[in-house]
Amino acid sequence: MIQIKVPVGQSIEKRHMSKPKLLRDVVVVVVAKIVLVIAAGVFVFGPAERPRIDSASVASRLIGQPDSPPPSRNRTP
Amino acid sequence: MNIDMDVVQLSRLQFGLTALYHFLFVPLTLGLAVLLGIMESVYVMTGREIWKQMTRFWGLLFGINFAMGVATGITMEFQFGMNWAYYSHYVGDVFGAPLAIEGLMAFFLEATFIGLFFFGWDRLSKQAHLAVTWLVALGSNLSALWILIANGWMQNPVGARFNPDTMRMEVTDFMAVLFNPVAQAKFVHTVSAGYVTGAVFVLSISAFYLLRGRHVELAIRSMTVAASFGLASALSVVVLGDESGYTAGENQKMKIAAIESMWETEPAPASFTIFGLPNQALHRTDYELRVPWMLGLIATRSIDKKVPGINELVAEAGQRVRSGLVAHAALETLRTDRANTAARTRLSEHGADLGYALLLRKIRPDIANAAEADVQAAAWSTVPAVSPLFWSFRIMVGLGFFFIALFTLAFYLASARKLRAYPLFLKIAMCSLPLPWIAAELGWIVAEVGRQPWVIDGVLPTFLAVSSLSAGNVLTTLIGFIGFYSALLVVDIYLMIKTVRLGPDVFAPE
Repeated sequence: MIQIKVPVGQSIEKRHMSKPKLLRDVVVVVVAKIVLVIAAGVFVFGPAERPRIDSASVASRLIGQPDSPPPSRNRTP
Repeated sequence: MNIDMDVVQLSRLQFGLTALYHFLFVPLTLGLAVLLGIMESVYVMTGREIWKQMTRFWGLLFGINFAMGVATGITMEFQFGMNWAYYSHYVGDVFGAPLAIEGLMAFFLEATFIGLFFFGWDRLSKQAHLAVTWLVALGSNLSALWILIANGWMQNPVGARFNPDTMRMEVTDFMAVLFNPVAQAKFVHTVSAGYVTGAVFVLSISAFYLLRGRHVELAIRSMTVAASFGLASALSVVVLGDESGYTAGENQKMKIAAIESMWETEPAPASFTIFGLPNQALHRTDYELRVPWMLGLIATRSIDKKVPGINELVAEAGQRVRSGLVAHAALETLRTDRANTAARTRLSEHGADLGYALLLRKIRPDIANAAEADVQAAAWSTVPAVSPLFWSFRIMVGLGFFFIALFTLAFYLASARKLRAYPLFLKIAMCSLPLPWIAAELGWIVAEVGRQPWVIDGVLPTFLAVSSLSAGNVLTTLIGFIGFYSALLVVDIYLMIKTVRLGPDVFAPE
């Protein structure tokens, strides 16, 4: 939690920016973000989850020939 | 599970909700960024600490809002690929470019300098920090520019053509996309609406402080800045909204007719319906109260040009459906015989109407065999939902004029140094806080509901753009979005209220 009241002469930034603590916070945040992005990439936005559309499937939808089965996903979440 | 709505409606609902939610944060970012630049400029010019305190206080609220705006904006871009895959394939070559430029140019600029804004107070010279603040404002506005160029192309798809070999729209004239009159009009209108939002935000919270007798110095100065900036912005938003309406009148006649609930074409100049009850089922407007000439002057800027009514536009749409069927047949031929020059020529001649024939896909799968009744049904499907447009537009415009009155009064009281003498005005100003958001959201409803049934106006019907997902999948993500965004909203409001309650003391020594 950010502590709002700060001692005289010290800005919030200075109080919270001692180098070891800043380094630790930055590392934790960066690692957490990398883990989240990789997890999202694998489980949510990965190729297996991504709808696959090509010119043939677009033609099928627009021209009105019977739609091929959903060309999209290898697995269902 | 029995789901009432199909995947198209669910995908539309999800995108609509996430877009409206995202736009809770965007206008405040746009407006506050410029206000911060103004406040800090005064600080650098005068050297008075109160202006630095103001910049830092409002900057903290800006930061909370900015973080939310970024988080909610990114998910929308993912939806293009996940929920609107056919759309992304069909128009991605055109639509993707401004989105990519927005990320690389505007957002990187914004994101880089916002860090310097918060952490650079004790590390940069006054002038350098001021430059950083203005660069954040510039980045925010550039970001809006590129997004609205993308959206403007959805409303008025210029500078591109359909390639039957790749089944995609491809850019033919990037300058036409960039200087699309619809996009430019939307940009200035949207940005000025953002400035109004920022100004109302500062005005309302400052009014709250004055009513409580707290942070008086900061509140009076903030109100003075907000009043003058807000008055200029509120006047601009109405004038530029008129420009936006005029460009829509030129390029999206059905949207204008639906906003007016105007079924029949009137002799020029058309009258404007101030009040009425649209009856879409019976194709009429009940209890109309009309102002002569007004619509003609607004939509055509002339007294001799007609504004076509819905019935006339539906008849035109019917013609375009028939023409589109020729293009559709030619495309079908080309898919099996790419060397067929006759088919290519027919497609080229009727290609502008291909989208209208695609509307038939909702009515029957074998559109080549469409009967006249099908053509009529497709033509009538080009009429968007009239009532939401009619009322959204009128409430938005009414609020626009209210903001002019509010800021005029605020400007007068600030100039006469009488802000504290009129508590009733302060209460009205404080209670006005949600109004610019209501106006902005209604503006987007007018823009996007008015574009229906198209995702790209006249080119691609919305129902063909959606991914081949199951309704259950979309419902799951929709529920996830609602849950997650509700949690984010609670956090955002908590942080905002906490910061406002503390006021500028958040930075002051004990």
